Amino acid sequence: MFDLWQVVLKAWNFLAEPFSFEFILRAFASALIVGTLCAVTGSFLIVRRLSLLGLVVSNSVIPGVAIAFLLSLNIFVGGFLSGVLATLALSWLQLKTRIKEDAAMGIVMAVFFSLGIILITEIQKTKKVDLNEFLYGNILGITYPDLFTSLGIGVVALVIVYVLFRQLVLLSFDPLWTEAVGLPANRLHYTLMALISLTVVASMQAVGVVLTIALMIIPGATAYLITKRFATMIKVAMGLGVVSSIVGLYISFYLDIPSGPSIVMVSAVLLLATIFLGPLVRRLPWQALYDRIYGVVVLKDETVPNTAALERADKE
Amino acid sequence: MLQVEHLSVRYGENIALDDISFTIPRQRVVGIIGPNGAGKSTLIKAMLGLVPLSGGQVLLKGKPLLPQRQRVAYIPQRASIDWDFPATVQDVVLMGLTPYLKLSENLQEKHYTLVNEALNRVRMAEFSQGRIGELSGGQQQRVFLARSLVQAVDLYLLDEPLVGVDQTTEQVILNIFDELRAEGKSVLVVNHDLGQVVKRYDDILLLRKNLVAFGERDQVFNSENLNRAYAGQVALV
Repeated sequence: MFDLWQVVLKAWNFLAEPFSFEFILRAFASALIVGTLCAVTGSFLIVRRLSLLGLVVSNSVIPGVAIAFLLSLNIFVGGFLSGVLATLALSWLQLKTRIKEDAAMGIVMAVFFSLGIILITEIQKTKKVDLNEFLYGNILGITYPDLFTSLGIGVVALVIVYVLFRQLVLLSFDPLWTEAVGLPANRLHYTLMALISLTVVASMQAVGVVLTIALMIIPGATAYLITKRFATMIKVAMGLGVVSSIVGLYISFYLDIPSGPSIVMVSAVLLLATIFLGPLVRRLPWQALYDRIYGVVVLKDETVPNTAALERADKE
Repeated sequence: MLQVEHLSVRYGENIALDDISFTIPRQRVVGIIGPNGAGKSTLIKAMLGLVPLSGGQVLLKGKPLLPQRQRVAYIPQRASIDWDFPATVQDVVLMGLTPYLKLSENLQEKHYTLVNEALNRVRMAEFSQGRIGELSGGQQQRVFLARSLVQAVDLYLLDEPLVGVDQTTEQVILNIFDELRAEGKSVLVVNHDLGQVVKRYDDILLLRKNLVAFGERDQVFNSENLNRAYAGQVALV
């Protein structure tokens, strides 16, 4: 018994120790926001087969961030506008030329990214800016203003998804039909693109523009494998995103490895586990387990008389 | 009910549809027939504004159709979407209600009732909770039909609904055409099959980039017209 108590105490210390530092607390809060938001918008990209668009947008926010920095404007706004501009450039290339989507993505991503690197290198000549922080993020260096901006962006994006959910799902499933019944298919598409851009700017300081794509795609792809409805997929993806972020941060703290890559590796392990253990997990008697828990937690009619029904019977 | 006037579609230099005019009254099932590349699917898409018109106009009950597209049911070709999408049969049919629901409106019991009725009509009720990716081609087509049945509109435009479907599905779909006609609605079906199915249509619209012939089946569906549409490659049996 004494041993067990020791183990519990140790586990508690293990889990609680990081929280004795305030910057870690901010990092966990940021991980929760980013994990949730990326999973939600990323799920739409997966079912629309536009996953690489996440990569395009995330690489394309860099010039906007740099220009905003040069002009002393808000870097979130700059990054957002730059990301949206990239999606417009993408559509323009496809509409005006015979260049197909994949090639257009490659072009837009490379051009925006190069422009970003040129601008940031210029800035570095006069000011001290760490390019690595843009590319790979630094979740442990998040400040309160950044955290609240990130939270604000996340809340706005999630509210938009919530309100437009049915129409966005319809667009993702059958874009042609969406337009045929007179819904604003184009406007919905660009709303989704703006949401992707919002996701990227909300996440860039935590996991960096290079790794945001991982948090958008991996939890969603994992959920895609084990769910049969999109609404469920998005919820499972959120759960996986949050779990990966938190476990990844713990590992990063104790093994002293970079937090962004650590989070990504955890989500990849979850994906592999799903691929290999998924069929096994599905074969477990979930329904029986559920029934059993339901029987214990919520008392069934047999054990407790249904008072409402009895009262009704009395009146009659 | 539906008026198409001088409709033309051009892809760059290529003429896809040239000066098509016809009128469809209520309670008609119309088969659009013609060879590959005759512009059958394009005609339906052009009517719904999915491809730009280079001329002409489309009227529904005397008013331009485009602003009242939610009063038309469109059943696209089955192959146009990714059936691996994570959705159940019920989810897809519920999507048919989306254009008519307010953003803030939650799904209620009456909506699920509508969906179940539609699924019963296409004999797919037992698959309601099944994943759409697990259905056969014919079953997928019936799900698409159910999605348009919940729309409860007066005009149905179907793009190749009978391609590669099983016997049961073909019977279900043709019976639904009869039911819709009886309810006073009109149905336009793109079809390239010249077999027995043709007998189920009231009118035939023969297409070969221009309108070859349009009218009641008995008067239009003959060797002379078919040879004009198919450029002499058809022997009517």
